[in-house]
Amino acid sequence: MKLLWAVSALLLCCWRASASTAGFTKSPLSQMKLINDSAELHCEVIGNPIPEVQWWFVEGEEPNEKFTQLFDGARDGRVQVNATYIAHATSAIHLISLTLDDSGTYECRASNDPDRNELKKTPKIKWIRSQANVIVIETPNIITEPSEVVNQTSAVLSCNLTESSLPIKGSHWMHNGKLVDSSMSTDATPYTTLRLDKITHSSSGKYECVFMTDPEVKQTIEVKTLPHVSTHKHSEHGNENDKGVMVCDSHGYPLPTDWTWVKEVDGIQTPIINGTSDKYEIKSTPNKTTLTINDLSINTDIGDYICFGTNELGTSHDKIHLRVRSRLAALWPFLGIVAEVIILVAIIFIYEKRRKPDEVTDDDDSGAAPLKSNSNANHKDKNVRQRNSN
Amino acid sequence: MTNHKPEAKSRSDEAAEGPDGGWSWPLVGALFVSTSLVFGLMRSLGVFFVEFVQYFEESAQAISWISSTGLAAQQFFSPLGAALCNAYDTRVVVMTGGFLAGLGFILASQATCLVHLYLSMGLISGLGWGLVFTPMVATVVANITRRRALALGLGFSSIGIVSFIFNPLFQFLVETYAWRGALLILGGLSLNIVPCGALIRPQRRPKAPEKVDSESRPSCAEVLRRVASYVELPLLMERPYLTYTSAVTLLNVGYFVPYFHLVAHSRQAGFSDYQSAFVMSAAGATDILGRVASGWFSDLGKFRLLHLLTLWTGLAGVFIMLLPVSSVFGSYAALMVISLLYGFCSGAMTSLVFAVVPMIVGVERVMGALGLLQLIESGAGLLGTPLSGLLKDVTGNYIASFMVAGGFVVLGTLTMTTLPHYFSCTDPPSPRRRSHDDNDKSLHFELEQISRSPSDAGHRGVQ
Repeated sequence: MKLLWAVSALLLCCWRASASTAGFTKSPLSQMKLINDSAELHCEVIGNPIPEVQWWFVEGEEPNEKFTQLFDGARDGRVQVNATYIAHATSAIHLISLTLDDSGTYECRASNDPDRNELKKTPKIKWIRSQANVIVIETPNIITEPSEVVNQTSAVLSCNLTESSLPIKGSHWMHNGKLVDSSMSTDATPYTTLRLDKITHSSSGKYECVFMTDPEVKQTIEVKTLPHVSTHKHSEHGNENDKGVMVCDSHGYPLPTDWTWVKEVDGIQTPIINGTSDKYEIKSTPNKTTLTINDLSINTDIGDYICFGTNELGTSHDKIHLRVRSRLAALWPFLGIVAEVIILVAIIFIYEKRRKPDEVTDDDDSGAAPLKSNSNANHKDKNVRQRNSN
Repeated sequence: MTNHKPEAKSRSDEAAEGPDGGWSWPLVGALFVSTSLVFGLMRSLGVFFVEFVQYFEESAQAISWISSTGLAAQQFFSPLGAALCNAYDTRVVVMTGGFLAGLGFILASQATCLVHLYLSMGLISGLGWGLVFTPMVATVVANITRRRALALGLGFSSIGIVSFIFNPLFQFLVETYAWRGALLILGGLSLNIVPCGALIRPQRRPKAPEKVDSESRPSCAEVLRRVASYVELPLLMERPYLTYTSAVTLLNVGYFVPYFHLVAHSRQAGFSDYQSAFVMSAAGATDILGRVASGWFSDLGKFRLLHLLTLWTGLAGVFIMLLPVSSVFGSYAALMVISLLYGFCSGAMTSLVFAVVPMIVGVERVMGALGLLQLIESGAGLLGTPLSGLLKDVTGNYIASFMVAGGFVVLGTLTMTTLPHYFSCTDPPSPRRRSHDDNDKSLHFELEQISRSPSDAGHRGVQ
C-alpha cells in the first residue's frame, strides 16, 4: 500500500514536471524610426502549455509607471498585432504612421500560468516580460541643390544633411531605384554630391541621395528631359486591303502624357484623329503608342507617318515610312523566272537536236548512263566488232 | 589488251557522250543546282516559319511539321523515283519532279489554312524532290567513274554555299512581297530544276526482254515482279547492301544532332548568342570545304573509298562525342576547334556515302539502291532528333544527347567494317545484276570481263 502511494506520488511529480514555465526565445529589439515610418516588434515564447502573449505600452518611470495594453486596431488602427499559437507562441506588433507620441517602451508579456488573469494577484508575479524602446524622431532636413534639374546638359546634384545628431556611416546615390556604383562612400560627412556630365534621356529620372544613418534618411531630386521618341522600324510594310501597324515608344523622364500622329505627304502634314473614321485607330500608353490603319490602299496610304510625344518640357517625334505591297507585285518576277526556265529548256532541246539529229531516238548508241540492259547491248556490239576484226 | 580497243572505239565514236566524257561535267552543274534547290531550299525555310506562326496563329511545332513532311516525302518517294527511272526515262522523271516541286510552292502561296501548307509545301513538293534527288545522284554516279567522289562533293557543296545566299534572299523576298508573293517566286525558282533535268540525255530502257511484249496483258504476279525489279527490291536480300544500309541508317541517327542542338548547347555552356551562332557558321563553312576536299582526295585513288569513308565517319563520331566535353571546360577555343573538325569530317563523309554505293551493288543498280537507301535512312533521321531532345529533357543538358549521337555514328562505322572484303587493299569486283537471259552463258562471261573496266580505270592512279 505504501509502495503504491510512493509510486503514484512519483508519477504525479513527473506529470507536473512535464509542464514547463514560459521562456522567451526571441525578444523584441529596440529601434529608432522617423516620423510616418513604421516599426515592427517580434516576440517568441515557448512553454507547456503554450503561453499567451500580450503587448503593453509603458509610460513614465518606476514606480509610477503607466501601462496601456495594445490590441489589434488600437491607436485608430495604427496598431496591428499578429499572433500564432502552434507548438510555441509568436507575436508581432506592427505600428504604422509613427508620430512623436509613439516613442516609448513596448513590453512583450507572456504567461502560461493557469491563473494568470486572476485579478487578485499582481501581474508581475505570473507574467514574464521583455522590453524594447522605440524612439521616433523628426525627419532631419536634407537640403538638395538644385531641387530639380530641368532641360540642362549637365548638372551637379548635392545633398546636405542638417539638424541631425544621428551618426552617419556613409552615403550613396540611387537612380530610379538602382544603386549608382561610383557614388558609394563610407565618409561620415553630412554632405554628398553626384556629378552628371551628360544628361540624356537614359540618365534622366529620379535620383535619391541616401545617408546611412539609423534609420536611413533620403531625399529625391528629379532630373527631367525632353522625351525620347523612337520607333523600332523606320520602314513598315503592309499588304493591300490588310491592316498596317506602326509603333512608337519613348524612354526618359517624365514619360509623355500626350501622343499625336500626323501623316506627311509631300511636306503637307495632316493630323490623324482617333475615332473620326474606321480607318485609323490610335492606342496610347505613356510608354508607347500604336497607330493601326485598316484596309490599306496603295493610292492613299503610302507615305510618312510622324508620331509626336509631349511631356511637360516639350515634344519630340520620329518618322515611319509606310509601304503598301500590291497583291500582284510578285507576279512579275515569277513570270520572268518561268520565262527564263522555258527558254533554258528550249535551248537545251534545240542544242541536242542540232548536234545529233538522227540519234535522239536511237536505242543502241545511248550516250550517257549506260545503266541497264542497253549497256549490255552496247558492249556486246563492240565486242562483236572486235572479235570480227580479229 | 583486248579491253583497250573497245575503249579506243568509244573515245573516237562518242567522245562527248561516253562515261566521263565532256557531257558529264555539265551534269555535275545540274546536280549542283538541283541539290541546292532541294536541300538548300529546305534548310532556308526558317524565315517563312516565323511569318506562318504569326499569320496562321499556330504553334511553332505545328509549323515545323511542314518541313518534316517535306523531308519525309522526299525520302519516302525516293524508291518511287528510282523505279520510274528504271521503267521510263530519267529525263522525264526529273523534269516532272522539278515541275511538281515548283507547283507545290505555287499552290502554297494561295494557302488559307495550315493543312493546305502540309499538302502543298510538304507532300507535293516533297514528292517532286523525291523524283529529283535520287535520279540526279544516280545519274552522276553512273556517268562519272573516274572522279566520282569529287563530282559528288562538288554537287553537294551547293547546300552549304547556297544557304549563305538563300537566307538573306528569302528575308528580302518576304519583306518586299509578303510571304505569299515570296512563295510564288520560290515556286518559280524551284522550276529551275526542270532545265537541270533536261540536261540528262534521254534514253529509253526496255526493262523486260522482248519476249514479254508478246503477252497482251501481263498477269498480276508478272507486274509485281517487274515493279520489284524496278525498285531493286532483291537488293534487300543481299548481305553487303543490307550491311551498308544499316550502317548508313545508324549514321543518320546521330549525324543531324549537332545541327539541331549545337547552338542551344553552346548557349547553355555559357557562351553568348553571337558566339554560339558563329560556331555553327564556322562548322558549316568547313562542311563545304570537307565535301570538296574529300571528293578530290578520294579520287586520287591512294586509298579505297570505303576505307576513307570509315575514317571520316569514325572521326566525325569521335568529334561529336568530344563536342560537349570541350564546352564543359568552358573553353571557347576548344569548342570552336572541335566544331570545325566535326564540320570537315561530316562534309567529307557526305560526299563519299553515295560514291561507295556502286562499289557494293554495281553501277547499273545504283538507281534503285539509292532509292531504297533514302527510304530506309529516313526512319533514322526521324528517330535521331527526338531521341536527343528526349535525352536533353531527361538529363537537363546536352552531354548525353551528343554522346549517344556520337555513339550511333561510331556504331555505324563499325558496321561498315563488317562489309565483305573490307580488309583487302583493293576493291573487289563490283557485282553485276543477274541478267534475265540466263541462257546466253558466253554473253554472261563477256559481261563479267567488261564489268571490271570501271574499277580498273579507278585503279590507274595506283599504278
